[in-house]
Amino acid sequence: MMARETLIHGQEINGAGGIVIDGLVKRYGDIVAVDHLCLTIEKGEFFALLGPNGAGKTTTIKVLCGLLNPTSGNVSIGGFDVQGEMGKIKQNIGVCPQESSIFPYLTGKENVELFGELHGLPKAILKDRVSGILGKLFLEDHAGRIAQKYSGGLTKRVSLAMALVNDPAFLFLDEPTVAMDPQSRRAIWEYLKELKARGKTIVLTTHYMEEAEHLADRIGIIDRGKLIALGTPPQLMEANGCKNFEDVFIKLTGRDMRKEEV
Amino acid sequence: MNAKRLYALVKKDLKSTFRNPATLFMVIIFPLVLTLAFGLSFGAIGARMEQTYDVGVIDNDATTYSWSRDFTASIDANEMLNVVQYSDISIAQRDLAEGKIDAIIAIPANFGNACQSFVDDPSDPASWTNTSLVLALDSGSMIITQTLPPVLYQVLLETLVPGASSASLPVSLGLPSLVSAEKRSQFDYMAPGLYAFAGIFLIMIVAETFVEQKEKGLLKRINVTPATAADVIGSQAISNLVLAAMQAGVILGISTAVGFRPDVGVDAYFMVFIMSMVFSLCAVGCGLITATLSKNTGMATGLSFVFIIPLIFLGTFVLVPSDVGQLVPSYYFTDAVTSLFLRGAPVGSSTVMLDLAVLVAVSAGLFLAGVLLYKKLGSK
Repeated sequence: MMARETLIHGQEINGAGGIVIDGLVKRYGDIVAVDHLCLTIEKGEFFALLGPNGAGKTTTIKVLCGLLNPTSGNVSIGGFDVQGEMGKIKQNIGVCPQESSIFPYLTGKENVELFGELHGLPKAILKDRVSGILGKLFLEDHAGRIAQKYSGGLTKRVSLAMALVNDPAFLFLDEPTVAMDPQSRRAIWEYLKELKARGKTIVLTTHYMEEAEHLADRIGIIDRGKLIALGTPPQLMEANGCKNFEDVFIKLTGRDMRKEEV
Repeated sequence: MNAKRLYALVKKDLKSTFRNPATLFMVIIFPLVLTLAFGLSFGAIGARMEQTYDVGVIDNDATTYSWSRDFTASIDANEMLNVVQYSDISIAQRDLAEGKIDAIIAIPANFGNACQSFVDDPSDPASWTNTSLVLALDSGSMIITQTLPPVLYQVLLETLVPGASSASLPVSLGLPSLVSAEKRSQFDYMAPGLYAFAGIFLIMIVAETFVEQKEKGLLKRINVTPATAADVIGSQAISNLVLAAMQAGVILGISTAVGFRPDVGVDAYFMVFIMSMVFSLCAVGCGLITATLSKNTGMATGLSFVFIIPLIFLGTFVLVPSDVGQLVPSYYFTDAVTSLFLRGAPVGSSTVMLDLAVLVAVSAGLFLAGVLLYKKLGSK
């Protein structure tokens, strides 16, 4: 059965200017990674997409970023269609992928500058923007070192800085705090809350339940490509009779171990 | 393509190349060490390309006139030429074959009579005693084969008619027989091939770079910015043009330092740099094809040798029959550099232009094939 957010959330959401996913299907041969996903994320909303391994979270993010073409369905970001207007969308998105994708032989600062330059930022703005972001993510002391020597947490923070350098209206974060120590994670949370306060639309996937609970306005739980739950953290806990969010997740997705994502 | 994005990506590519010890070694250190090692091993130090030519003279003149001695003295007086006297033609021929001299001129027995008949009545060819000088030249140098006959004729004319720029003479220069000399060091013959040799390894660098960036998700990461595939591939092409020019500079510098100093103009060196850069497009094309077929960096390294081995063995300093070499683009690059540096061919000569045309066509074809294949299959 197709899961529509309105059935769970109880009210229609105005998706104008936000992200609208309508009947998204993504197949890899016989495998259905995303199965008729319908979801609207409001402009300025902090949305967490949770699910076990292989649930379809990363595939959904990749479709939203234009890295994968949907098998069927429509997806629009800020009113632009991902299949026909990706050029316009790319100007306004920042993506922090699951892999720690940074250029190993550039310094942290050069990695961030490169992405600013690819977004066409003028030199003066780029300089201020880079130093601002490096400061916010506590990277100043490491920014001049070759990235190859960074720890996993440091690499993740640089990766996040690269996603933010163009000051995007839409931010897609695929497990951004993996490999970070609690201090770094808290610092990132504070910065993400600041970004949310500045009106950014943020889509986060994570395996840390407390991260989703702490940061997200709404949470969607996806399993086997289908959206199985959607709501604010209190709504979902209340609806499932659980006292913490991890119990909600286990109750909805089961205790079985899952295969890795496609 | 967008110029600012291209510049940013080229900066990134070059910084990554020079900061990665493995790629820095393959692109710069390896050709540098190889050129130095070959130069030292195969003995170019101390050797210089000639600016004067040794002419073996065998004076068979049986007349009482002094014309053959005057002619020999005139040859010796020419600033381009040195005379080496021989009495035995076979010794002269051996020395020519061994590269000890550059040419042989045999003065015929009736040379004195021929010259005297001309001087007695220069306006009556019917009264002249006609004869012919026998000439043998080192076929290994285009400078010698092209330049010496007219220079020797001019010396003869000057001997008989001082101050004249042209005149009919009873003495003609026979068609020169070309003798292959082995005067140059082995390194002199290898040096032109080193330019292509260095560029060939760009194939591996390009293939590894693309596959590594694909493996690490870096290409995807660039794909979610406004940068296009054309920007990414264009930046690779440009950064490899820069690397190829640097390689050519390194080989030129080291080979000069170890004694390979062809007596050619700046235009010849400029042409070699241009050809290095054209050849780098061929390397980028082969690298993209390799990257398309490779699933990981190790596979890219291994597969790149499918291109590297034939390009090295058929088209660089390894001597193979030219009809086999003509199958690979590196042959045309090496042949053009050899023509420019060893054979003394002018930049605009048909040999060099033909080599350049083939190299441009093949490099452009391989580059386009690489781009199309990679865009269709490799970036997935």
